[in-house]
Amino acid sequence: MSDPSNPGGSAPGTPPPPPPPAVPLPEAAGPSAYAPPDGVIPREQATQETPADTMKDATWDDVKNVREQEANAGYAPGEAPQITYDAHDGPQVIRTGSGKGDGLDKCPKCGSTDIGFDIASGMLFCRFCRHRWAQENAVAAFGLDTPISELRGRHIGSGSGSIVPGVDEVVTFKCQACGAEIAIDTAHAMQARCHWCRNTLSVNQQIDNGAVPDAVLPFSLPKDEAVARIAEFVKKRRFFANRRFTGQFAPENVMGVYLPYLIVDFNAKVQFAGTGEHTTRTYTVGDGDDRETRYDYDVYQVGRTFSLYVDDLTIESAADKRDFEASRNTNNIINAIMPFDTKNAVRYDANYLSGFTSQRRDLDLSTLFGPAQEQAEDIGRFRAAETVGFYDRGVRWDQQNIDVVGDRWISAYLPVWLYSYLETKGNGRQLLHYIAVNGRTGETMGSVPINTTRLWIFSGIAEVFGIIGTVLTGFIFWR
Amino acid sequence: MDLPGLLFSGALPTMIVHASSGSSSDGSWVPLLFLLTGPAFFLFQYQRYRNTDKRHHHETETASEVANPQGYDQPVRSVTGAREARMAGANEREVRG
Repeated sequence: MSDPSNPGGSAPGTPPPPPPPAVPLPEAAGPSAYAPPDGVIPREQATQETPADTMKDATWDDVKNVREQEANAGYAPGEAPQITYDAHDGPQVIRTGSGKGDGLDKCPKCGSTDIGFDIASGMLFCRFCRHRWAQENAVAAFGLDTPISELRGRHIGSGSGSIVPGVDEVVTFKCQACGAEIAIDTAHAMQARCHWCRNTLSVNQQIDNGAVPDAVLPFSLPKDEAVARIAEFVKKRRFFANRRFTGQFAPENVMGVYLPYLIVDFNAKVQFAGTGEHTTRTYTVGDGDDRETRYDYDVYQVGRTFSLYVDDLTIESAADKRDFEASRNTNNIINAIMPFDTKNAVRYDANYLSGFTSQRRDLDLSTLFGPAQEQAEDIGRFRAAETVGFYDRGVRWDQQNIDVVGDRWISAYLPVWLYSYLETKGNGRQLLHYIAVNGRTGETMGSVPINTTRLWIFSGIAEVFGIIGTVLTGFIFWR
Repeated sequence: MDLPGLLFSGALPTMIVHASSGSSSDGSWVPLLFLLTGPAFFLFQYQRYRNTDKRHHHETETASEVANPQGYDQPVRSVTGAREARMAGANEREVRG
């Protein structure tokens, strides 16, 4: 067995090499139970910790990989040899967590957890001492205002990371005030009250199940206003509405829901190449009843290339809300009330969700990158269309390409007032109808179930008038 | 296919227009247009209530900037006497996402 203090050995007669640096090796005193067979790992390396700086820009995947390698190699945590990371193009993580994990989001003035959210002022308020405050704007807090043109590589908010399968939706907290165990079902809510001491417990730690986002855009449209807009929307659509729906219609039952979205900035290069046609002459040929319009035109090879900076492209990140099949659901209604003023989102604080429900994000970037890139390409295509007005007969792009140079992803809860009605049709099929109001802009859209019998009858009556019209005009044209 | 499906696919109006296009441009097809009154009424009311065609127009409602634009426009050939006012397969305003 070689001398651990002289791993390379030395020739007889030569002066001994300088001793190794006197680095304190607290766990190096005795052989570790996890240590590999003699001589494989020099002792002074076996306990060297990875310097903090090395992991500064590492992602959670890197950390997990290191831990996995350590476990596979048979080392205890921290015993593995130092791993040097090469520069790589992996994602940069934007730290958006609160740094807390105790389940207590307290009033900064008095420490109470009894905190409410005032929609009218957009402020949080303490029900105990009446102190009012607001969370920091997310754009400023996370440095999201750097020019998109300077984005290189991928940047992800730490609340937008991959959802780890198997992470429970139900989070259990130990109440820091009384020690009771409290469970919160993060699929629907982010707060719960301790049954024993009445403290409000909030999920304030970013967990790998997608429930805690980077940011939240608080409601600014009061419930009364949402109720009025929904009532107005339905009032204009009563005549052909399903009788049961109108009978049960109660807009005051509208729910305030925070739905999960990913907000993306893209720095991309787009390229389009194809053919455009420009009309040079329009004229009529033939005479009498056989006149026809003809067109002369020039054909061009057209190409456009430019840098495209997409700002806050917003995309649903709950699987059930991304299904837009109209025969199965009315999710397009919720989609239609976008856009939101996402620049006003604030750092996530569960107290903004007080009194509302929330839906957990269950899709991550790996699933949504493709659709988001496709939407960015659509934006690029429409920007390119602004430059091809000369081609009045149209442009056919045969080659379309988008290269993403940099992208930045932030997850957010966005506010929606949602009224829903489950229609059971005659054949037993069910359809959930939504009437949705944007919790910021007030934009309203809805799906009202139809009394199809009545609509058929009135369409039939309209058709009878149509037939009469045909006969009357037929007298003029066909005599 | 049920009638709403027939209407939304545009098959019925197309059938009627095709039936009428046999006559030449003397206007004798105009009375047939009145036959579309019933289906058009159904379609209009259905969409007004159900709004199945509504969506977020991400392609125009998302903020974006263009930089370093480059392009080319090279004449290839001239064509005379075409019957259609629009080129075939134009897709400069296609939405895929």
